[in-house]
Amino acid sequence: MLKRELRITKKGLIIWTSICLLLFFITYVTYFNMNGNESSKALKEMLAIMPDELLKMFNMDIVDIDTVFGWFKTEGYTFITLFTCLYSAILGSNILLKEESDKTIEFLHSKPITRSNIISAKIWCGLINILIMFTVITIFNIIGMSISNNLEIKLFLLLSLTPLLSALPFFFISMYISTFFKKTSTTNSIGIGFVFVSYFLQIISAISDKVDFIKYTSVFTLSDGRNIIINNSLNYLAILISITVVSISCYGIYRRYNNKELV
Amino acid sequence: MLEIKNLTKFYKDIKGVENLSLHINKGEIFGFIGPNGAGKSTTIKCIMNQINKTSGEIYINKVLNDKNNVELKKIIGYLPDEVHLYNDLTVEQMLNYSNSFYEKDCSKKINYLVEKLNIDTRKKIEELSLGNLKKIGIVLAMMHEPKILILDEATSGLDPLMKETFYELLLEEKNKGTTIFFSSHNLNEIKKICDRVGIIKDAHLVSVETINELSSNNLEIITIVSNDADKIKKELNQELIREEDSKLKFIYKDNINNLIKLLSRYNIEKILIEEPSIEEIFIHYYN
Repeated sequence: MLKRELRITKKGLIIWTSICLLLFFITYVTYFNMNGNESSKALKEMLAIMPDELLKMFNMDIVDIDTVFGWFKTEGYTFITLFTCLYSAILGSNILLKEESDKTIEFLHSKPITRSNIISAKIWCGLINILIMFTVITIFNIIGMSISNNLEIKLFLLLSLTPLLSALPFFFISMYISTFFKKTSTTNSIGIGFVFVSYFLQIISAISDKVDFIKYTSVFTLSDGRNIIINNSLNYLAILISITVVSISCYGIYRRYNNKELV
Repeated sequence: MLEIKNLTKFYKDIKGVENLSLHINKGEIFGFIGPNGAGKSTTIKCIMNQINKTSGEIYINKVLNDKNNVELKKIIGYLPDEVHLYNDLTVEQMLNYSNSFYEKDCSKKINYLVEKLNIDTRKKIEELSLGNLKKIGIVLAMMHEPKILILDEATSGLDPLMKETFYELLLEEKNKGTTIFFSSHNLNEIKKICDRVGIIKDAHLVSVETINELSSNNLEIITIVSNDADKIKKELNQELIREEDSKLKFIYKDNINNLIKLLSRYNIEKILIEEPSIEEIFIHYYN
């Protein structure tokens, strides 16, 4: 069953990963073609006229983006986080509910497997897909940034893998939400909306210290790149919260699905 | 083999089935008949644990049919009313995928059923017509040689020749000792292949009869056109389905010879004797 799940989710994984890699590829080509001091000066002039809040939002107030690694620490990191979280939320919304939405659950449920077996296969498939996506993007970026000769490997790996702390909760929470519905068309919209609302809340929280508390309502706070750039280490509290959210959602998925009316 | 005890299912305030009890013996083909919305599919969905029972228990081989009992699932074959399969697979891949859930090689039985039902295994599932999907559904239900077959409107979508082949397959299974729960709204096919029949109406099991008992009821729909319609009506003293000028239509339960003797005394223009539809039986006989 897991083998089949991997096969049918392969196409989506390839498309999402390819789009992500394409953006990084374009960025690398752009940076490699930049004309040293002149381009760097132009970039700094452009950043100087930007509002402080905007710079803070993308960590540009603490990082120079005149190198490709600098860009990775700011916009690149934001892009990876947003992109992988969107993929994870959509995957979580779909992977279990698709059987009911397509009415193939009548076939699957008549086979000698438990409902928990079905959930486990879907979860493993989701986790494998998300990890493959992260691994491919990380390897691609290592190669890309090695060419530019300014890669700090520890910080790079921390930044590359930290988005998992948000992506996994998005996957499990979306999957849990899907157990309340019958059609994937509804849960897809909810999953995408969930990611963007969460991202929006985190952006608002960065605007001013007065609204800083809003960050606690956003899943993206779990993968706060700013903290990693400043401290060059993982936020263990974020890891703990992420594991807790994943565990509670996982428990909820098994409990709800085992009592759900499937047709 | 299959025992249902006081099964009740409510969808919020709407009754699906209420207090339904049944016992089906090993090697028996049990017909389950009723009009649309009577509760046939709800009963089957409860047997298959796709929906939660409000109350009641279902036993298979005297073991409680719990939704996580994998051992029981191994001996059940299920054919739903509408067959939905994975559109990205070919028929052959679909059958192999289904086989992968069982700990045995089902290829011999698959090949037999594929040949018997004349299935092209190279086609993709998404290319199949409803009838062909139903045929794949039959193979999926029977491929692992289950001890009990749960069939919901099994022949809908099959052409008459394929229906006959399917009846043959069911009789083969019965001869091997397989218990078959056969839901249908077609009285003729129930009479043709079943040993006993349960009649369900408005979420309640109205009656369980052997096919012999059902046939001996001699229910007939009679339509008579005669100038003596008023006199015949008085003498028959029968509740009519329809009355138009000189035309009478009614359900006749007694020996047909008595009716013919009675009618022989009158001038009859036309007489039509038909087998009643299941709806007519429910309305006028089991009411």
